[in-house]
Amino acid sequence: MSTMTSSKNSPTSLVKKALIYLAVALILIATLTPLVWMVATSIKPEPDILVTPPRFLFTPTLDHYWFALAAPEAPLVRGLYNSLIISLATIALVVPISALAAYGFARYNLGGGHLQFYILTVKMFPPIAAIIPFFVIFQNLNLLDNVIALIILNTLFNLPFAIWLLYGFFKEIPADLEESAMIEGSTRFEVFREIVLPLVAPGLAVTAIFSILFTWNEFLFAFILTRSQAVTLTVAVSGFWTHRGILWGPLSAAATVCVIPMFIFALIIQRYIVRGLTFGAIK
Amino acid sequence: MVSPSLIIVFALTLYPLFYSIYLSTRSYDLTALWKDAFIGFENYSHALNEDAYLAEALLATFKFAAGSLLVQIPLGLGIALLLNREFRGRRLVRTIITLPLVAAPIAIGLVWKYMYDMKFGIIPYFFQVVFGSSPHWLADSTMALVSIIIYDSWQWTPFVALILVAGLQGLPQEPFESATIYGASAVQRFRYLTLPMIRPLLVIVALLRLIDLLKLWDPVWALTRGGPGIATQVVSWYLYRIGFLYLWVGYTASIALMFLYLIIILSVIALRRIARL
Repeated sequence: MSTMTSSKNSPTSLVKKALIYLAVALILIATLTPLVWMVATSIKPEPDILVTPPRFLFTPTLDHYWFALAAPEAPLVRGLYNSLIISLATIALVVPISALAAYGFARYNLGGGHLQFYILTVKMFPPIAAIIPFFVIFQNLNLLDNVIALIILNTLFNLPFAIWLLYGFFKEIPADLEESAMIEGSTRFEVFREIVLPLVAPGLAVTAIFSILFTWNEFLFAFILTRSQAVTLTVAVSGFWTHRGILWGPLSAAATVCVIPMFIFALIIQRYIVRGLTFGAIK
Repeated sequence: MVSPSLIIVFALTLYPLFYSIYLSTRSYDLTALWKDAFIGFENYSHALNEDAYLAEALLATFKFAAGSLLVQIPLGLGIALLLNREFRGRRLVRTIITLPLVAAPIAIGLVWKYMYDMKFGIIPYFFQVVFGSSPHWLADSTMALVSIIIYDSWQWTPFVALILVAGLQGLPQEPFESATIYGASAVQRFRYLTLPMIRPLLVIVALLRLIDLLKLWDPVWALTRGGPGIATQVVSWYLYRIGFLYLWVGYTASIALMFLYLIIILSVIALRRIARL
């Protein structure tokens, strides 16, 4: 064996180790540089932003945050408020509806899996292709620049994904558990409420967080369907690209405000990230 | 129990779908409403036969998707193999690479625009210092596409890596152990064991990425808005331009539908493979 596997401190294994850490360092630098640069720019005084070469040392300031919050061309406060409303309304619709549907699919094998299949293709629709009929429809319904339009679209686009994700969580609950409760005289609905729901609570939380994530980060629908009243946070961020050029400092501040809450969610659902991004296929 | 969601999904997709089909057969143009009339397949035949801009957009989309896959799949696989090893801080690295995945593309895309800025950006600065000169990232027609590919790879290579790590960790250990005993080198084990075993997953990841790459829109808005010229005018950007800037609604609907069918076909292939996993 000693000829095949080198001992722990031999020169080759040390080189190997060094190479691994070099690769890890490169990955971390590449991943973190844009994020660090965003936060750094958001607290960098204006004169230090517009200089060549870029300045790495400066006295931090919160000026851009104050400016961004008050800027009329990019209504950040309204955007934050609308994004919060739209996200909450979307999960309030998506989570209960998808839970019922996923439970039905998991227990009754409805449509032999084809229905579920059809539903998920909706998640794949290119938003720019979907928005064309919706734009005309919302215009006729007088719902342009209205958060209701965005709640409808985000619900539609998150439902399929939520159903698939929750389907996996329901499948993990042994059906015997429910059957024995039903033999003891509980109804289907009681079983669902008293036994299934508590067991699937983590799945519901993960589904809710993913729905918030997609809704919060959504830009195309919000950009096309809103003007001033219903602007979301992402639209507000894009507003710092003004006719007079891009206001890098306030833009970075707004981008930081937009991105940080999602980082916190990512840390919470870390274990489920892969599962969520593959619609529950890979655990 | 299933019906409320089905009603919502069906009503909200089928009605707009049929409405799109209806629009696509008309010469509906918001800047020339008096011309609105039924024209059958004329929009489609114009798009397929006479629209040079659409051909250019398809080419740009293809270049962008191919370039991104060529970067993201090998790089993601490399990172996955690395993360599949034991080393100190592995969990932390895994956590950190999830961050790009959850950042709003429009917000982080605009941050990248600042980093690419020829006057104030750190990327041209880095190239100046290390190589003595820097390409004109967003202003040059070839480099603009490359710039978007780099940005997209920054954001989505972790997706490829994380899925492949999950796949690698689910592989059985015995074949690798016996291969080592019989003297197979690390390269041989990768070539004849790892690669064939995770091939189904690689195909799925590539398909999921491809579907997303074809839909790309936010980063184009943030970085190039289709320019310089029409160098980065991918299909989704072209649709935005003719639909929402030129307001040729009927014509846009016809191209959007064909684009939608293409993506649905790809989605069905991807989902079939996921279901078989």
